[in-house]
Amino acid sequence: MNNCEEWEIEIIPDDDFIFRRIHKNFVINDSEFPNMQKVPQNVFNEPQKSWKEEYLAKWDGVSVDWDRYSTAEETLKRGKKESTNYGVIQSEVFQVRSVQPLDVIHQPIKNHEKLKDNRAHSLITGFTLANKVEIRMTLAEKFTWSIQGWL
Amino acid sequence: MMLDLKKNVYLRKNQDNFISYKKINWFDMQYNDSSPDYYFDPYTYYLFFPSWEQSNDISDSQENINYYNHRLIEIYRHISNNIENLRQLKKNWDEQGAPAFESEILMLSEKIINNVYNGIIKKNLMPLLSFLPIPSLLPISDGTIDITWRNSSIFLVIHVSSSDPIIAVGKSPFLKSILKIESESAIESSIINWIFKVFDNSN
Repeated sequence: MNNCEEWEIEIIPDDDFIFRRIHKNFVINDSEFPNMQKVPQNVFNEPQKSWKEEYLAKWDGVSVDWDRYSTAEETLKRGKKESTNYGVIQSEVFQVRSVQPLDVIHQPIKNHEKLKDNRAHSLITGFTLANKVEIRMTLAEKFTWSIQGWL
Repeated sequence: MMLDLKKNVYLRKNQDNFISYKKINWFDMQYNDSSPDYYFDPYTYYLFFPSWEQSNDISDSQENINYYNHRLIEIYRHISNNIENLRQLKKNWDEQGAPAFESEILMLSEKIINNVYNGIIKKNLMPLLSFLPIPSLLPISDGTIDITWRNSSIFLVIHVSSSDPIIAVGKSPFLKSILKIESESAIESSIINWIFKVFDNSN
């Protein structure tokens, strides 16, 4: 099944922004919660394998939304529950691409059996078992909070 | 200061005769803000009594010792809350299929943190207690945990998995070299040495 037959996959420019929705359970343990200044590194992780196989079998990477097709508020509202359960972080694309070997690629979702259409959907790719901890830490320093829905 | 024998308390000293501990059963212990402070490992909690039954060659002021005591209790209270929060996360807590946290990994994380702080105390590197920020245990979608110390001086993560080697990565603006350790065995000593280098360079 082609998930994006009606939406062309585009090249994402370096100076565009990407957003990532974060469930509050990722950050509720932080000592500064709920008034966090820094983005924690644990939010940059691929979904569990079983979930991924069910929903995103062919995609490897961390999901984000491209600001050409989504605002931070729209990214927040794509969550399954009320917006107070989520936050949104953001970064410029070149900041992510400056971390070797990461890239940001457009991967729109269209007519998926289980996921809602999302033209903004994109992926941060390049994570491996060997680099995951250091890469996550570096990414945490590249992203900033856009929305903290729990505030 | 009285020693309560009913609580099966005993005293031990480290090699440099600077620090002493009383081992005590946590469940018998009542915390009191005016009393000496407590810290713990996964099974046993310790009272930290630097001045109790010591010789006269204590190498730190009572004021500092009181500060260390309060810092330790602050740290371990926070860790206790962290562990409890993680324990309460149910399966699918990230809405993308994350598993609940197994007791094994929570205990392992506690043990590592305890080893780090015990190591700092045993090496008599007490200023590191204030130099290091209070750690957080951050949950990962795959059921692993990142023990994290992070402020503007240091960003140190110990990635804890029950099935894979433990990974430690540390960065600091005060030190060019990045800490990278991956090991099945105890890594706390190397981590403490790296923290001390950062601390030393920051002064």
